Amino acid sequence: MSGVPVNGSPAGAGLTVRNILRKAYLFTFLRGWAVWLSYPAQAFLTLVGWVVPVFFYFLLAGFLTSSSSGSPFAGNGQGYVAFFVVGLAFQGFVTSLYGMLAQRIRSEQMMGTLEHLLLSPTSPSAVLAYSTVFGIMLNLLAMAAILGVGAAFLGVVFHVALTAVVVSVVLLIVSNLGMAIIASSFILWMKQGNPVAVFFTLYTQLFGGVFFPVSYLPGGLQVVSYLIPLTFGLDAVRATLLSGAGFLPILPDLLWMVFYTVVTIPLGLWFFRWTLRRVREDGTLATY
Amino acid sequence: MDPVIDVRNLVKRFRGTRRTAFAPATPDSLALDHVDLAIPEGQIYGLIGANGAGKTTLLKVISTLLLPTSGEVRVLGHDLRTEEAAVRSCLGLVTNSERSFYYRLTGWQNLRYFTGLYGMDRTTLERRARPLVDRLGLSRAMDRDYRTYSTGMQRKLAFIRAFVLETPVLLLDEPTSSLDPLSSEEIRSLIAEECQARDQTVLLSANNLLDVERLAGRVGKMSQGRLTPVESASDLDESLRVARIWLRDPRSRVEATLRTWAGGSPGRPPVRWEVQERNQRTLLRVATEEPERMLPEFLQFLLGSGLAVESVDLRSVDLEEEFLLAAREAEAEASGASP
Repeated sequence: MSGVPVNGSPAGAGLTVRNILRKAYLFTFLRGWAVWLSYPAQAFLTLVGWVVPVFFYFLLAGFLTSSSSGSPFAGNGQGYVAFFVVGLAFQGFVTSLYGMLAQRIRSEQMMGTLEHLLLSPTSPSAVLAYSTVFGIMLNLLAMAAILGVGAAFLGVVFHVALTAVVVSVVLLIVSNLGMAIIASSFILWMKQGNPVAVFFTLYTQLFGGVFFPVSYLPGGLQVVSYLIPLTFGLDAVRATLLSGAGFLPILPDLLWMVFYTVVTIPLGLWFFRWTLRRVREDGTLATY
Repeated sequence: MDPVIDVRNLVKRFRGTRRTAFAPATPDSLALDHVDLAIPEGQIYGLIGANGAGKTTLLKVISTLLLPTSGEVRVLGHDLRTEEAAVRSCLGLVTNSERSFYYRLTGWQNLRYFTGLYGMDRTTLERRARPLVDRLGLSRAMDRDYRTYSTGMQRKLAFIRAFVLETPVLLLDEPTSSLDPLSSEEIRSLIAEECQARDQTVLLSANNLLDVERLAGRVGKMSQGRLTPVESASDLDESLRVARIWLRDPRSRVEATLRTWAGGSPGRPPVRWEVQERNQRTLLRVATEEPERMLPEFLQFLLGSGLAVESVDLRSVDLEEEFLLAAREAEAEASGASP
């Protein structure tokens, strides 16, 4: 007698399409949507939280600047409103990716389900990967809401190069995944407080070209902004979403994001495994 | 035939912490002290011992949730250190915590989620779970959110989750803790029948000694991280007798007197004792394998020390007494006193 006699496969842990889809469904719809929507007030307030800042920055922009073609945002042809609408829509991807994975780990610790997750034949890395899917889906909704408000109420016009946009967004997400995994590892280890998530949220807002172009930063700080993949991601998305640019103009941005992906994801996974090993040595896996 | 669970020379040491401005340093602690254990296929092995004796730590190491410091653990021949995934796929675990499901999902959704992690489809789950659900009286609750479950229902769902996986090995940590006597009996019957039907090998830790008495084919006693085998529960009476001595003196006085027993005369054998205060009297339990030789001298010692002995009876040791004696010994050892 060995292994779990489930569906004839050893423990159902194999990488078959059926297994992957089943687990993606379990993590996304059961653990993700079913739980998220069971808190209707939270779901409603989250939606409000996505949309209200768009109006806030719109009013601020009107007060501080004139969004004329003479402004420094004319590169995209639509002034500051289009600039911050795209910045806001996609910066949320990054910051919530950092927060969401970490939050996921913490709530599993608090619910006592983490031990049972890790006891299953689904590997810890796969648990992380499946957990990310729900976060990404939620942020796609946020992105659609913010871009929709921009188009419907604030006059933002999109000239979309669809393939280039999709590639840019995918790379924007995966190039930030490694750091998100590191952030969640910190929660596993430190239980409370998430220095990586907090640091990156503030850091990306300040240096990532979300609310103002990187060129506004003093010379030395501009270099700092290129240490985060979001800067390149937003450049690429703005160009492809607002100006209809193809792959060629955004190639350097894409290559930088590939570079960050290749470097940070293995680093994140290594750090996660190291942390997991450490908490299993200390006996603090399920404590919070 | 190789044992299904094979533990050799297992040590688990938890690192202490350094002193900080806000908290004192804590020393290293030895949770498992060179534990050896071999459980053959189909056997239920019961672990008894006081809280903190190392029972849960042993279960967690075998289940891969804790890493051992040294030693060897094999489950169905798979080495814990090098074949962790294979070990995990052989195991079902029921922890002693109610917190192990998603509160906002129903019973069925929770089962679908956790068994799905093992690749189990919905049809197989329904087929395997339905009889258990019906038997444990959860049919009407399965479509309700887990947060509405009583403690007993939560424990039952945990058992269903473990049993539907049909793993060859089950680890049960205090399976009937926080259950009423009726539910406890239901769970015990379930464990006995299901495990026998599937020839499952079970390692069971228990504070409720009835669990061990009813279920375990072999029993081990854990104390300060050390595991010592006890004869099977039904054979306990042959190895040990317990004198139950009622005294009219307060517990503190009885304990103070007992501490002078071994030091009083070099020829005296050490005795295992345990004291409880009940209804303004003190019940002293003394365990011995040679009551005829030891008891007269011991009673003389008590009377000579000025204690008021009210009654004495001699009987076979039961598991509860074995447990209490072990706990008392552990306590004495921890405080540096002779038991």
